[in-house]
Amino acid sequence: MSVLYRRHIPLAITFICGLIILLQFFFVPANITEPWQSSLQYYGVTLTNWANLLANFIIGFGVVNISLIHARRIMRAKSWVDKFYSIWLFIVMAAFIVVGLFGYPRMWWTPLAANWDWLQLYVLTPLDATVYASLVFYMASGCYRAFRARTLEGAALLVVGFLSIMYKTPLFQAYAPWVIKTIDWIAKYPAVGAYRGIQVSAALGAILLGIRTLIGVETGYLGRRD
Amino acid sequence: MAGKSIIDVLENIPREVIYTIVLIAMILPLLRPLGLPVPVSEPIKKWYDAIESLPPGSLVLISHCNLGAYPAFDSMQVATLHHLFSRPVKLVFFSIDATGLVVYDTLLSKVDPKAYGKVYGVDYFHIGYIPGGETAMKALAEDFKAAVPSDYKGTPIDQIPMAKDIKDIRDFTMIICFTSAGETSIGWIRQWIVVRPEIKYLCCVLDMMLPTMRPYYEAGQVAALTGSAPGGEYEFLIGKPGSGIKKADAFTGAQLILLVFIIIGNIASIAKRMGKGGVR
Repeated sequence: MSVLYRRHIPLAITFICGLIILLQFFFVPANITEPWQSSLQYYGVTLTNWANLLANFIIGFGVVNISLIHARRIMRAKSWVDKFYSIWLFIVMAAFIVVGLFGYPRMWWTPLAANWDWLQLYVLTPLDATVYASLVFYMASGCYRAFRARTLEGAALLVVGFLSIMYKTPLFQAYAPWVIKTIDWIAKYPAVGAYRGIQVSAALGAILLGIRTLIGVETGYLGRRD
Repeated sequence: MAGKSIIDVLENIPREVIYTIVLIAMILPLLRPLGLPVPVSEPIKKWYDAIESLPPGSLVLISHCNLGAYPAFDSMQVATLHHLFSRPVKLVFFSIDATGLVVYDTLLSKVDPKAYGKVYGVDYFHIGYIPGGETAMKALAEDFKAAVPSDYKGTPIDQIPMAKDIKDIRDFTMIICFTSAGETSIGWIRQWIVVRPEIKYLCCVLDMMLPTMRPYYEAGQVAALTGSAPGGEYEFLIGKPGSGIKKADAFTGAQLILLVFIIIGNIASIAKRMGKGGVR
């Protein structure tokens, strides 16, 4: 493939699309009065909807990618124990795809609608919830080990962490209002100040990355250079 | 643990022991509620007041959570829907995650809109899942019907009575977002609130995400900000007791035990260092 197709055309597309979205944001007011504003709005909206459509294709791309990885793992694994989880992934994925195609409310023919609901409610929900809920145990063990007054910084973490747990405990909310006031003050001033610094720095970095991408200096999204 | 002193054991309590005791401390209050007081905190009061002050006929966009986060947001979402359905406002539900539609079905199985005289398509409807994250939010803001050709059941948007008058972001009065994802909670600010600051943004995130959202709240871009844990407070405030009030006791149980563990760990750690020749 020539450099034109691999590099110049994608860079030109990125530049034009980025520029349209930027111009639309800065120059199209809420109440459109000029024809050029209307055109810019139209192209901006169209590009945004294209991006949403492309996001659908990314889901399909993910399915292909995960299938390739696990097919390779099944072929290369030496024991059946190693193969089992990848085979199970294919079985579950196939079940969800078939039931989704014929059970999802928006599909044209939904004979498996009840199965779709059942899979979501009684398989996906408990699994998802279990993963989330299990965090509480790791966090409890982590807090017990990390909140130790070994150094000055560790003591500060201990005091603020301890008060934060008290702040989130309904019992202390009722009987120790001073905890609420203390943590509110910490959250409102020192924490907000620190986070603003982080967020403003990250935003400046994002702006720079955007400019570099628009002018074609940042080309990581084009893939590997040969 | 042979050969270890009691201080060594207390300084390094095995994680299995911590897990078991925390589990018991959570389960016991759920089986036998302690009946501890549920004080209504300031963020919940602001949340309540924001919904209460909505003018009749206001259009509210509800971006509900995904399936994995549902247990965390259950009580806040259910209580919020009870409150919203009791008000003369119109609701547009939106799912930013593919698994969100089941959450919507589950929510409506707990909050019956018919009990409030609300009719699907007239007082509320669901636009389904739109992939793309922030680009989906932007698309909704710019041209609602172009982004949403049909509702989540596949009914064309033009056949939904309340959708006829929705053109873009200017028709909405409020967004309510329940999310466990930082890019979603901040995305609404970037794509909606920055464009139209008049819209009230109510944001409910996991409690550990609150510090990240607090700068936006202090800047006035978020009208009410709360964690997912105080759902019981909101249930209490609107007079619809549910799972949140029971969970409040479980939170107290688990967190009290955790505080006790932290105290024990520090006492053991200090005692050990003193035994070795003084605190460093």
